[in-house]
Amino acid sequence: MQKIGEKYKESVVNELKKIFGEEDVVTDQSEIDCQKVDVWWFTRYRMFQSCKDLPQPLAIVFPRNKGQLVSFMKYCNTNKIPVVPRGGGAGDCGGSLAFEGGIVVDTKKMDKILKINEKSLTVRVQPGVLQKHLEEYLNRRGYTMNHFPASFYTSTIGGFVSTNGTGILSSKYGKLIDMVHQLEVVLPDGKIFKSLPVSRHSTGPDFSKLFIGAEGIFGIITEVLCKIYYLPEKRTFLSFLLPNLKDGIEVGRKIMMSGLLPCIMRFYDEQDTSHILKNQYKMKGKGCFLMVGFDGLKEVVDIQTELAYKIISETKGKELGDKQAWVWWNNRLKSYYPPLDYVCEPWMTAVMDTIAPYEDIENVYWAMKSTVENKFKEYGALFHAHFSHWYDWGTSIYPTFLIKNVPKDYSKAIKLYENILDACINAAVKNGGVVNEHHAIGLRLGRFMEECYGKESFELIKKIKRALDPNNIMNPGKLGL
Amino acid sequence: MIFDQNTKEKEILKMCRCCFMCRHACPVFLATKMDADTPRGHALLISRIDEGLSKWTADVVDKIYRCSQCGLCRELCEFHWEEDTLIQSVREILVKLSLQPYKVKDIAYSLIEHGTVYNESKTNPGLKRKTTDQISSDVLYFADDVALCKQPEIIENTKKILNFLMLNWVMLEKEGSTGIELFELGYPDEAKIAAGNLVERIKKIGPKVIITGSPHAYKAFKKLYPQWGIDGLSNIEIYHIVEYLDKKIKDGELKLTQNSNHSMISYHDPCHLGRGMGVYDAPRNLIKTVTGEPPVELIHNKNEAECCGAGSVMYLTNPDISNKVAQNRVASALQEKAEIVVTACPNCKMVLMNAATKMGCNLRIIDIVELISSHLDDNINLKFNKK
Repeated sequence: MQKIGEKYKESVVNELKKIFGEEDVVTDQSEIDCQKVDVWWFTRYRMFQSCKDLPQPLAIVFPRNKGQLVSFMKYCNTNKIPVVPRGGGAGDCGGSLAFEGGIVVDTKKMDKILKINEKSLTVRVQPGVLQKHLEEYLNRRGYTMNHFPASFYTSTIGGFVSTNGTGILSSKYGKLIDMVHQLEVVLPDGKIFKSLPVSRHSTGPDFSKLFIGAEGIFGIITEVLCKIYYLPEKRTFLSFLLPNLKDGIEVGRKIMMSGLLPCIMRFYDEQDTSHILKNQYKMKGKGCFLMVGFDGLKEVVDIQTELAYKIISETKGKELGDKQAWVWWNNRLKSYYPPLDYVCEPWMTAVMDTIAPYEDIENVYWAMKSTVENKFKEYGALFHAHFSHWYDWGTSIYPTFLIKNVPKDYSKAIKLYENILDACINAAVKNGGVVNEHHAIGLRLGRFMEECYGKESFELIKKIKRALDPNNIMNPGKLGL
Repeated sequence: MIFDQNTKEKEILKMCRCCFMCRHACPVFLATKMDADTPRGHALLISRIDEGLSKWTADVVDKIYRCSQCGLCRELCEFHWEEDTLIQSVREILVKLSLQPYKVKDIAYSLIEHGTVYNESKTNPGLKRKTTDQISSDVLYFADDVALCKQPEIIENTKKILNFLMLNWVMLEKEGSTGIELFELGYPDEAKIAAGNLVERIKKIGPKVIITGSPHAYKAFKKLYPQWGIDGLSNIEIYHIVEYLDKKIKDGELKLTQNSNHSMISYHDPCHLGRGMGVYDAPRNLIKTVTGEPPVELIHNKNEAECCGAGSVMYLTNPDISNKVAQNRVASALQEKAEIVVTACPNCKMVLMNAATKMGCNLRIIDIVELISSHLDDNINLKFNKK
């Protein structure tokens, strides 16, 4: 068996080398090992238990142009070889892991910034450009994409599009779906789909949306036309300590319903707040911390800040000023560096981003919190959350559970992890929440897809998948497909 | 287990092995786009070996020697985890286990036997310079290996400047290794022996001042030797030439002509001079003095400057990767529409020149002494020196 496997691998790798060239086909075990770990607790846990039985790709390829991808997809489709597209590889759901073997397509060598249009404010890029590098390029010309997620340094545009990523300024600038005008995708049969060059047309459905948040299950993105903005003339912040969660959600709702456009609004539950007060403000106090920010033209920013201040002041809160908010803004990625970030610890943890309309969101919060804290009390499970993406119909909760004493037995640990996710997400869905994992659904949350959509609706998604990818070569196993 | 509990290395492994936050800046990653070439990748692979989950393979060892130890990851990390120190420690272990790549063994042998990375004991025969190991002198000019073997024009131009300043200067007949390359490749004991031998020869000259154009030698003399317990140079003033010339200008002892009609000039910060020794202003002051304007800054400059690809002798251990790293730096200069890139390190100049040639671009790469030597103001300085 081993010999047949090696021979097969050799023949595949030889074909890949014909397409991509020797240098861009990598079979080094060191690279494969590094790509086996994303930010998902499970992969980190397994990597430092034993990853011997973790599935791995035959090879990793680094395409440089779409011509190579066209040939590659035809080859893989004919030979039914799984294809796993990869951007930064820093998701937390295993979205870019080759759990069914096959070939990983690392897009980071397709990293060109092709054209900036200073009239319509767009930039055309290849999928592998890192957000940090694109933003640097734009900033030097007086522009910004206004996309600042936690993985700003690590992730690629293609990855963001594929997960419909969300940055901290999403309340004003939206998710990736709001930032993309046009997409080009190589489909599983090697054909190229290019959506229309404008995003708001009535020329049938906007089919580019089929590929946004699709995690590579329909094809590989080869080009993205993104919206850009002028760098803001002014930025302001307000920060308050509000009495409780209910008041804070209501303040947020009022701000969003009033027609104001805060670029940033972050509201923290009591657990997160006590941490913020202690570390940032060096003070003690009870309540929930709210930070609101505006950006853009000076006059617009000033009047919006004033109106937001008025709305917040109507609640019995304590004003904390803007000094620490500026400190937060200027150090907004600091908490993602170890030792502040949990990734350096063996703790069991997961985020469970959930979104709901305003009438349900508080219930969703309490349901998730009580599930974690009551059902898993014996494990010392902790729960903390913040609300950081606000819309004029609802908001999202960004909850994290944390267990510091992970069961030593491997199967018990995995079972506990799955049980917490099951219990917590079911509680959220039952109370009107929708799974909203903008780091990917991947493998971690795929099993909730059918529950979220309902059996009949999910069947349509499966039919679309079968129609576009009859051999199921594209990122198999992800998104519950 | 590779490292004992509670060691610095153990903590770095824990912090870096799952962290992606500096990957975007790693010059080697930007050249290869491989995760195994990143600080996280290195820590992850080493950590698994440290925990007994896997063993050293030639593949992993290869990745450990594909780090230029430029220190940019440490610089940009919010908590400044010393990934470069980790690589250093691991290389020392690999050398002890005799697992280092053959190329590394060859280079180390050459450095130990011949005092040069180039596996040859000869120096450029066409080079006319004042050399001695016998005569005492106030000023010792230390050119270092790459200038001696590959960049004679740096020595010629430095000579011109030193003579212009009417210094009583000499060079060592045969310089030998400062030890820094051996140290970086994982041979700390051999590095200290080489350093000790060099210091003894320098002491015979008895200089009051050492001037070098090599950031590698500068860092070795000024920072590493004291750390290694080699204090023979402690009473000698040690300067990188950019600092020395900047000081002379500030002291009014050197006048340079100014030509505002010049090509677009950018400056590349050598890692050992910039992040290594904190020298950022002096070269910029010199460029401004002779051109009337500060250099056009590359997008990543000063403490955030990317390595040119020459760090840790990568131009010999991994020439292809070194060249790609250098090409990225050249591309960065071209983006600023630079016509000339000035640097202050023979190693940087060599790899950047090779990269520019490979890219077929018209960018000129020069050492700062080449720029300065063409702006020596004979009238003013002669007058000054005659005072």
